[in-house]
Amino acid sequence: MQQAVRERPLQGLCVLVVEDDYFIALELCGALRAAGADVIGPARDAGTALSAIRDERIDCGVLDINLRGHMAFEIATELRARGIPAIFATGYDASMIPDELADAVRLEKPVDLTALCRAVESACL
Amino acid sequence: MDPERYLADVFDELTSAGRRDTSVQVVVRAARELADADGMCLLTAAGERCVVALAQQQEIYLCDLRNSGLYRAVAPLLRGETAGSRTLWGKEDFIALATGEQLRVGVALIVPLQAASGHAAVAFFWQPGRTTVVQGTRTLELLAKALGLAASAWRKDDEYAASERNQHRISADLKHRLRNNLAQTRSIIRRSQEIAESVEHFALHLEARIGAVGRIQGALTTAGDAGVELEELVRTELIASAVPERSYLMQGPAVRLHTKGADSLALAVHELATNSLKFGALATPNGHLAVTWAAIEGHVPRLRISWVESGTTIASLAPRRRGFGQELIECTLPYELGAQTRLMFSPGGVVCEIDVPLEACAVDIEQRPQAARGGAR
Repeated sequence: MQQAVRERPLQGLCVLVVEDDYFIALELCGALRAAGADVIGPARDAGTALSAIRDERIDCGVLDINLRGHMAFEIATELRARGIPAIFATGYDASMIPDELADAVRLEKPVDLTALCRAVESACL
Repeated sequence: MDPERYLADVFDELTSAGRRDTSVQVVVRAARELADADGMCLLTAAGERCVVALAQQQEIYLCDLRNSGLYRAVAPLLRGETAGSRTLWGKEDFIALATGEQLRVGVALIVPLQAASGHAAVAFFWQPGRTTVVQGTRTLELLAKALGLAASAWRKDDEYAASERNQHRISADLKHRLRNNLAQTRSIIRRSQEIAESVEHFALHLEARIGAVGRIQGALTTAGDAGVELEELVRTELIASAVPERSYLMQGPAVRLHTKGADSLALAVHELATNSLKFGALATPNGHLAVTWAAIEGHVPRLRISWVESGTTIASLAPRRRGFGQELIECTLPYELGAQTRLMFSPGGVVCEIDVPLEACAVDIEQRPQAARGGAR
């Protein structure tokens, strides 16, 4: 974390955060902002996330999969369609992720915040 | 063809068929060959569509049995209402084939094969102008019995596979919930740390919060899909804070909360109770707390929960800066449940109103009104 704060490796990147748990969202957004990113969201449901994708500049999406029982794969698909990388931050196993999204980076909850920033950085290279 | 020898071979093949569709294929092929040898024709059905194989022409037609008298006879079997095989003798009926040809149906035998999706059946028909030999029908009866046994074995296999899938789903759900809970707990620790006034304050409150998370997770694990009663949730939190039973009453219809609703609301109730014990009505001997809830009808049905303290003066003690509990009620509940909330530090004590779309928090709610209940049951 300290290193990320110093270097601000995500400076200038717009990162969409989709997470339905308030405190987890706060934590993810805090880590991304500390690394220099502009956070879009957090969005707590698919509707909010999809309209953000339509209306805002987004360079990368960090997505929880289960949004109050609703599977959020359509958000990842929508990002993909626009050539925007999606990163899953989830409690689910890889086996839950559909084949067409299997190559997306999957970070396991509780998410290592340094790894999250690194994953966003390399996805946006 | 020696039917006995043939049947023995078929049974061997059935026994070693590892998969259901292989078994079905074996059986259908055997039935067809036996029917062929006996001058009959074979019909297999899945749902209401049937395959009719004419023994001599080796042709297969699709036909719709719904309008035929045969269907009325076969339907209960197809629906699995009759177990095992059944022999229907002497019934005269016709089914129309797609070719326009009519087939006289003296139904000899109908064997329901419980396929993975729905049911399948094999039926044998006399062909017009043909008679069958007794030997053949006996063979078919034997085959039918074997199929009946195989079908019940498949049903057992299905039940076993379903229970295994269920086990797998439960363990995947548990794993997911565990990881989520760890993530949630960590974020609560982080947030508690950020807003704590001192290390002691941090440690004390964090310990209590994790206790509350543990209690609701325990209740959710026990309750499963049935959900957790709101009244139990409130009572559990008040008991955990050692609030005397005479100090509070609860009133509202029976509401069962689902995981997300219970999760968010339990922590909110915990924070309200903690705050009340420290600064509010529960801190004074004459203070009283009323927790009431009701369903609010409307375009979006809602659950309105009111936490009303009375008998104390806390205006001067209201926290100067937003604490964890206040953030939970004013930010977390709106974010997670789409709730509208009001938290007021009024002269009699804290008043908190939480108005949540029912769908966002509850499995179901009882319609008839309830009498007020105190802490004791």
